[in-house]
Formats: sequence, structure tokens, C-alpha cells
Amino acid sequence: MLDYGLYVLLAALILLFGIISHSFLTISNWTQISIAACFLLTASAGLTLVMITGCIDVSIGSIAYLAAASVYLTAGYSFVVSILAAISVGVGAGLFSGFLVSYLGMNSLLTTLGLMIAYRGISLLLTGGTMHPVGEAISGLGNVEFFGVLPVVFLVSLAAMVILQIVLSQTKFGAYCYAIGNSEGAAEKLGVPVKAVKLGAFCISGVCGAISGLLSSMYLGEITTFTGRGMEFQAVAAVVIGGTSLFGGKGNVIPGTFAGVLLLIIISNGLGTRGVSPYVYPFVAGVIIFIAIYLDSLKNSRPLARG
Amino acid sequence: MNGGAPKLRMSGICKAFPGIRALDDVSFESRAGEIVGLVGVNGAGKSTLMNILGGVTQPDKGKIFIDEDEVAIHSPKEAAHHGVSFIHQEPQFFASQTVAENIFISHLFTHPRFPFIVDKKAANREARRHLETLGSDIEPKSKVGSLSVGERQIVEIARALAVGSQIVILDEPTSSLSFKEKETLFNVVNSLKREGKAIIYITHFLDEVLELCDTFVVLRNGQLHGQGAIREVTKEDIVRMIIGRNVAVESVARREVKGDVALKVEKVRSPQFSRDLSFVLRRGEILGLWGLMGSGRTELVRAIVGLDPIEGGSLFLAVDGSLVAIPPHRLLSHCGYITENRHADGLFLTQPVWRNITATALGRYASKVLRFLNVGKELEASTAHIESLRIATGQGPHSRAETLSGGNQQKVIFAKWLNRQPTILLLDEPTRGVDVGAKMEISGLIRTLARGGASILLISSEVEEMVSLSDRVLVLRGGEIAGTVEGADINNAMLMRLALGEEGLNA
Repeated sequence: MLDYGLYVLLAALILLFGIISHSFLTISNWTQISIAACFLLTASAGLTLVMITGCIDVSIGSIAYLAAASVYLTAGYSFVVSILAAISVGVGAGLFSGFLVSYLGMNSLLTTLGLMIAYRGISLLLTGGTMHPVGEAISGLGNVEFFGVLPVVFLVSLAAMVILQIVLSQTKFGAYCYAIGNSEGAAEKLGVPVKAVKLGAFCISGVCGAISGLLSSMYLGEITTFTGRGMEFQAVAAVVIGGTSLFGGKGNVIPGTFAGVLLLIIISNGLGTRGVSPYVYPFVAGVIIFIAIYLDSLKNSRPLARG
Repeated sequence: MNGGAPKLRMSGICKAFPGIRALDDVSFESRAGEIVGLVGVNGAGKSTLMNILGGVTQPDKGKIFIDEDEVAIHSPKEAAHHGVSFIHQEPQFFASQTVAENIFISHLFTHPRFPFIVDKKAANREARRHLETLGSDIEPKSKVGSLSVGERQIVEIARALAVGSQIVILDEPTSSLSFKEKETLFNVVNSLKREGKAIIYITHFLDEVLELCDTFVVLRNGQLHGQGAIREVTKEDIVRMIIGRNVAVESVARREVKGDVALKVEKVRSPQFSRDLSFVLRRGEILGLWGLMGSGRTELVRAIVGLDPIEGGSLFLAVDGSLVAIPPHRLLSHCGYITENRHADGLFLTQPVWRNITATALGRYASKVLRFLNVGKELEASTAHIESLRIATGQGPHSRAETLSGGNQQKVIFAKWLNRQPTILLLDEPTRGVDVGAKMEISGLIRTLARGGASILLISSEVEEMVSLSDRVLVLRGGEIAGTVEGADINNAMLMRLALGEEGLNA
């Protein structure tokens, strides 16, 4: 039961909003949901890998902002240059935090918390802290919708999810991630290249954060100081709701993290279609996160043995 | 046994740690298809010797030959490279992954056509093959987290087989197994032997050595004290080698305690024990609980204080002169409990000594209505204890507990429980890790407490401590009470013999 709790909750919410709101179960609303979800889906997909190894990466929101800033700075060139710039930012930032965590043995939460602040600072310096358009070429690409209903930004995030799920479940790298999360000491002893795998996981997480920022700038056609802000914590919440253990070793991108993100997005969308004040969303989302984490602790704790 | 060159030869191994000669010129051989039993008491040097072979520590002197080639082993990785697998007491595993993934984690198969993709089918098939070789029917696709400890151990042995190890070390593999799992493990080890592996089996339990091994090696105080073929010796011979020929039977003046029963444990049953366990603890008595690792000593204590569930049996506690039945998890609230794990269970390290001492009886210092604590009274009581127990603190009761030496920390814990004036005290390794002087003071304190009428259940892995303190000793072996020793019979040799399981002495 506990294993399916998230899906039952998700189904119940969709049913509930479908009943109380006429516009909720329409195709155009689900297109909106897919757009609203794609940024968080991409970022959470990479974060899932890091969390499975037992680490955490809270710098992804700022990496998204930094990547968006690089899109703005390269607005004069071809959109290919902008995309490459954003991805390079992700690779660089991810490799840097991965190096600090796995080769210098620094704590991943504190390291990426520091980097979160630093990257946002760099981005503010680069952009002057104001809103900027990113250019016609790339924002035109960001607003393509296949058949009028399937946004390209959502397809990119879906592709990221599918690829990372295959990496996790079908490759050596994936098996190593789980092994490290289960017992780093045993993995090391049995010849798993622990440091390289963690470095790789952080690199993937950085790239995913950057793609998330890229998608955001492509879709909105602009960057603002709000780009990626607070996304890291939403992503951590979504990953944990999706069943990935905070202690590592357990979890998946699909269906777990996917459903976790969907739950958060549907709550705000569903409340929105009923005209509820947007200031209520964070409160409701907070309650849902608590419930999910409580269910997780029930699942992962053994009752105290009593005679 | 069989001819030919030995698979492994360790020659003239010496190793010293600060203040102790852990190994002194130890040599032995191990052949393919043969099980060597490595025996000795705690601290005899068995683990050090095998840690050297496993690359965990380096020898000061001596050589290791594998297939008659001298090798240097600097790390566990190098040991694995030389075909040495070390199966530790606590299996190394990845709980959320499958048995096959656990077995092949360092040698994952890749798909013939897509080199990035792992071939799970091949892994499952090969894992099943290795498990079948070991005579085990564990499903390769099941998650290791759902297996029992014994099954996890078998998975680890299958891993040794899968990576092609030629030398397999098993360190006390049965210490956390149930009696049925033990049998399965023996079959697995015998299969490993048929596969032509050289097996080194570390254990305290002579019955296991006699049943399983072909040859034996005895270590005592870091020196070799006998080796040979199992069929040429009796159990008594090995016992003699383990405990030494000249164990002086020192006589300690014994008290005979005939007080009322303070605690009665009746027919406690648990899967950890091979039969029901019953005993009584009298008023003013120091009852020693003795047994080797895995004998059920720890399990018995955990069962009677309610840390592990019991399947049957009852506990009776003397209250106002009559015995009252209580559930196990209530026992701790009636007695003082001093564990070896001072830091985690016994002290608030960052708090001053006085807070530590009064923590278990705060009600006594609280005001009537608002329950405010009277710090003056707390300090007064703490100071009295500090003086009577001669606890060396830097700044009297205000020193933080973490600034004290181990022995003094232990005295603070004693003071804490004495402050509650318990009638029963459970002492689990009360002097582990404290210096000799403090050890003597604590021993004196335990005696004084018993004379004052407290009943003490003493658990210690040091035979000397058992002998010098106990009025009566309960010896456990193989999950049952192997005997009760009283009076002049309490001596090193007797306790060791009973614990190791030499028959005919249990008079």
C-alpha cells in the first residue's frame, strides 16, 4: 500500500480537480501542465541520480539561472551557440561540485549550498540583476508545439527523464550509483570507482539544471532574477515524494520522480483552475510534502521490537 | 592432506601494535581443497593475521607466498587481485539491489551488442549457476535487503566464487546465524572446498572446527601454539593449546551468597537460544555471565531487558519481599544499566558532571508544585558522589563530562545510577577501555555495592574480571547455559573449558 501511496494520491487529486473544476481535464490545460512541469522535471531527473548515490545537489536552481544568463549573453549568435553555452555551464558547474564532493571529500549539502549562493551571485553580476530578452531565434524554438498540443520544451524534459531512467536501470554507471548509495564502503572495497561515479552523477545533475534554465529562457523568451529560484528545494521535495531515499540507494526517475513532480505541479494548476489565490499553493504543497515524507519514514523505519 | 605445493604460505609473520605484540613469528600453510580452522580466544591474533592476508594491515616482518610466489599485499584491492576473498562477520552488501547485482558488482556483464547496457539476463544466469554450485536456491533476482543474514553471507561467498578467488577467509561466520542457518553455511563451505578453494575458517567454536575443518592452527597471545590434522587430535588437545598448559588455578576468597532472590528469569525462549534459559539473581550477589562471542551472552541480556522480543518465559522481580512478574521492557526502569558504550548510551558528554549524575533521579530535586529543579541540591548530591567515588574532575561538578578520562567517565555513570539507589545493576563490560588503576577502583566499587545489598549481573569478556569479581558464574555456550560455576571452581581454566565446550567437566 505504502509503495503505491503516491500514485493513489495523484489519481485522487486528478479525480478531485476533474470534478470540482470544468477546465481541469481539458487538453489545453494539460498542455499548460506539461509546460509548467518541464523545468522541474528536467532538474529533478538529474538530482535523482545524485540522491541515489546518497549525496544531494541544491545548486541546480542557480545553475539554471547561470545557464539562462549564458543564453542571454550569447543572444547575438546562432541559437546553437546559446544551447552549447548553456550545456557547457552545466557540465562545468557539475564537474566542479562533483570534484569538491568526491575528490576533496566535502559534504555535498554544504558544498552545493555554498555554490548555490555563489552561482546566483555570478549570474546577477553577469545580468546586472534585471530582466533581459534572450532573442527571437531561441524563443521561437522554445514555443514550438507539435500538433498544437505537445510543447517541445516538455518533450526535451521527457527525453531527459527517459534517458536517465535507462542510465539508472540498464547501465553499469546506474548499478554503481545504487551500490554507492547502499554502502559506499562496501562499494569501494569491491572495486566500484566510487569517486568517478559520484563526479559523473554531479555532472549529469549540473547539465540537467542547465537544460532546465535553458528551457525556461527559451519558453519565456526572457530571463529574470526569478529564473531557477527555489527550484532546488522543489526538486528535492519532488524526488523524495517520488520515493528516492534521502539516504541513497533507492529510487528511480520514472515513474517515481516523474510522479513526484507531477503531484506538485497538479496541485498548483488544479487550485489555479478553481481560482484559488496563488498564495495558497505553497502552503498546500508544504502539507503534501510533509505527508509524503511521513509516509516515506513509515516505509523505511522498522518498528521497535518489544517483548 | 593432499600432496603438492601449498596454495598459500605465510612465513615468520610479526606484527606489533603500540604496547602489544599482536603476532610473533607465525607461520602456516593452506592447501587447495582444504579447510583450515584458525582458533584462539579473543585477542590471540587471529584477526590480525587474516587482516594481513586481506591487505587491511601490513606485517612488520614475514613473507606471504601464493602458489610459491612471494607476494606483497598492500590493500584489500591487491588482495582481491591475488585471489584472496575476505568474508567478514558482517556481510558487505547493497540492500536495494538484486542478488545477481551484488554478486557481480565489480564484474558486471555488458550486452554483446550495446556495450553500455548491462546484460542482466547473463548476470542472473551466472549468479544462479554459482549459487547452485554452492547448493543454494536463493533467487538471483530477489533483493538482498529481503534476505536473512545467513543468506546474505552465502551471497558474499558466491561473490568470492564469481570473481574467481582461490583463497577464501571466513571470519567468525556463524556468530550471527541461527542454528539452522549454520548447517546451510557448512554445506556451502563444503561445496567451496569441493571447488578446490583454499579456505581459512576463523572461529572460537571447537565443535565447528571438528565438524568442518581438515587442519587447525592455534594462536595464543600472538604465537603459534599448535597445528596439524584434525583427525589426529581430540577436542581436549585443542582446548589445552588454546588456553595454555599451565593455567594457574588462583584462588580468590569467595563469599557464598544465600540472600533472597532479587530477580528470577524463568524459561526465557527465543530463536537465538537453542533451549529455554532460566536463572536467579540473589540479593547482594555478583552473578557473572560468561561466554564467548556468539555464545548467546549478549542475546540473553538483550532478551531480558526487552531489546529483543522473546517467544516465551517470564521475569520475576522482588518487590517488598515478594516476587512479581514484570514484562522484559519494564526491567530497565527497575535497575541501573551500565553499558560498554559510554559515549552513546551513558553520558551527556557536553553537559557538566553534576547534570549527568542527577539525570536519573531528577524528581528528587524538583519543587513540589511547579517542578522547578533545585540546582543547589543537585550540586550538593553530585559533590558527595564525586568525593565518595573519588572521581577526578578538573573543576569539580562543573567539568564537562567529555573532558574526563575514560575511567572517570565510567565512575560518573556509576554515580548516576547509584544516585537512584537501584537494587539491581546490570553491568555490561563496566571496565572496558579504562586504565588499570581505574579498573581496580571500579572493581572495588562493584564489590562494595554488592556488600551493601545490591544485586549485580556482570557481563564481561575478560576472564580475569569474571574470576576476580563473581560470586557465581553462568557460562553460556551455543545458545544455552553450559554450566554454573561457584566458589573455588571459578578460575580461568574452568571458565574457558566450559565456554569452549569440553565435555565431562560440567559437574
